[in-house]
Amino acid sequence: MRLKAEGLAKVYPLPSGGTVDILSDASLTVETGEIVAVQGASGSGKSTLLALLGLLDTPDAGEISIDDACVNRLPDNRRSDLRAKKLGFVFQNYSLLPHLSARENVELPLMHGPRMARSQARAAVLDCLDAVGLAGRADARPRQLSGGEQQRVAIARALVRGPAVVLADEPTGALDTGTADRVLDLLCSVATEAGAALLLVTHDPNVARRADRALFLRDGVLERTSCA
Amino acid sequence: MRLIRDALRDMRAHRIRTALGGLSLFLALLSLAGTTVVGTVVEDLFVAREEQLNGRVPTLATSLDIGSVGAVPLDELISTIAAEIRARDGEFAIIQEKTVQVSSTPGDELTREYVDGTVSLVAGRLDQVRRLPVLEGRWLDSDEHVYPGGIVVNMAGREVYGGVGDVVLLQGSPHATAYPQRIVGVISDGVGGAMIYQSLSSAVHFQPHVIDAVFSSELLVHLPGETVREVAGAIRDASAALGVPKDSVQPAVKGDLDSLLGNLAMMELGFGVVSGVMLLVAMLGLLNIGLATFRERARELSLRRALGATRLRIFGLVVAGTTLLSLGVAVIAIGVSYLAVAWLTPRLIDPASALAPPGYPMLAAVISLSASFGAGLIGGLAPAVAAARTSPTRLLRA
Repeated sequence: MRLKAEGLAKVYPLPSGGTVDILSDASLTVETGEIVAVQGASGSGKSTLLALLGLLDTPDAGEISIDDACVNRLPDNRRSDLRAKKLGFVFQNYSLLPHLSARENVELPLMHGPRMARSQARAAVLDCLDAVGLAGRADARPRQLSGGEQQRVAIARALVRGPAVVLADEPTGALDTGTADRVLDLLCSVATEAGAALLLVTHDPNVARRADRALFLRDGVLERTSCA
Repeated sequence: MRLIRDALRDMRAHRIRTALGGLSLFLALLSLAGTTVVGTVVEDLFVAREEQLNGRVPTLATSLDIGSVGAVPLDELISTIAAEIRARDGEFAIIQEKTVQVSSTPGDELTREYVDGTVSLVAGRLDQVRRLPVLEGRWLDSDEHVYPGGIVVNMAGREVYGGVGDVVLLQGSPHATAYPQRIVGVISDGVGGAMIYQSLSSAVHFQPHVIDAVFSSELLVHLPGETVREVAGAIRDASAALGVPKDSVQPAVKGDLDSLLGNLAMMELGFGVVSGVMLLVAMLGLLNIGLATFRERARELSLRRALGATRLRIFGLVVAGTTLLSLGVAVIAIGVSYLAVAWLTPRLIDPASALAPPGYPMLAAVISLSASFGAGLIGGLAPAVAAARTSPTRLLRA
């Protein structure tokens, strides 16, 4: 699968009036199995880029395509469907629902998009929790888990539907260095094992170093910085 | 199913919100179901009691001065009225009450004891005009001359005179000959005192002295499904057939059922208005809780959107939540009101009436379910619209 963005632009209105061009001409391509990092300073538009690539938002200009099919002009329900089928998300603050157990949190993506048999869904959830080393803590609530464990649950949730691309927004931003390394190792390995491409948005150079390719977002444009 | 399962899990996860939303709705529904239940059950009881004492709705009564129709023999009089009334698919009864001497110890004439008793001499089918449940035996062969003919007693009469098969002596006046009569039936007539019902035809045929010289009776006519005006017309036509001028006949509805039902309707209206206001408040409560918790749920809804939930799905999730809650609450409210009816109605019925307690009115269940469904749907609509508009990018901006 190929996720491709060409000439993405996004303009935000400012509270004081006027606008700011957060993205002006951002282009990139992510291929199956590839790990790509997008770096940039705070406020440079990394999260906006992730929102556009994740079909959470629509660009003001440019095009996003999956396997050469333009997807950013699809109606909202079709984009939701594509998110459910092809994309997985890992957020900086884990974004686990506190009233659900780890198992139920991982099960959430299966409640949306294409139907899956209950037995199959249960097995997929347990497999993913097992892959992140939390099969024994499936019934724990997020408050009973450490930060690292919570992010591992979030990784399992991102992978449970077998997405083509996992989009991670500062996945280790809320973790201490040791835990961040372990979580990042896990994220890269399980995504690779699952055959998913991984797009990491980060300001941390250590995270970017794990990527096959690293891009730098500056003045709304993506620049290639290094190749692992 | 997936939506319902998800909504149920959501409700379980937010127990306090669910309980708060459900509580006010529960009270409103209980009030609504209670109003309907009280209205219908009390109405049933009123109507049943009135029909037992004064005749089924609509029944009209008029005095029938048989002395004034003079030359018309009693048999002919009865058959003339019967022909007029039954031609309209109705029923009638002619009643004359008398005080007689009654002995339930018909042994030796010297040791026999008499007590005062009240006899209703009946022609026609009183049991069809009034609601008179037969507890034992059968009703009278009212229009036939049969000897001894048989009598029917009410529940209090059974205590005094005996039950089916027992024989009592009736004496029209102190010096008249006493006639034995066998009790053929026991009925419930709603009257507290002992009553004897005897066929007017038999009494006149075999005991002419028991009839008053001036034969003044009451004629009751019941035409099922007809208006009071129609019944009055039937009575006037029957009177005219007997040679009594129509204008001199003034039929009237017996009892005060109309007034009772009018008061009940006013009471129902009052409670109905209160219930409606409570339901409105409950609906606004659901709306308020839904909108207030929307802010709390914004991250969750945003996450669901990011994970692939469509706007429609989010809308459905919120509406399904409030609708399921309202239906669940309705079932509980109906259950509580059902138990209340089952416990209360037997205690509201006079044992002397022997009337079966009215069942739980299905109308109450239907109204409660409909009102609750409507309140849940409307109360959940605005929060659902707000929830469906949640942007999935909210998670990234946090």
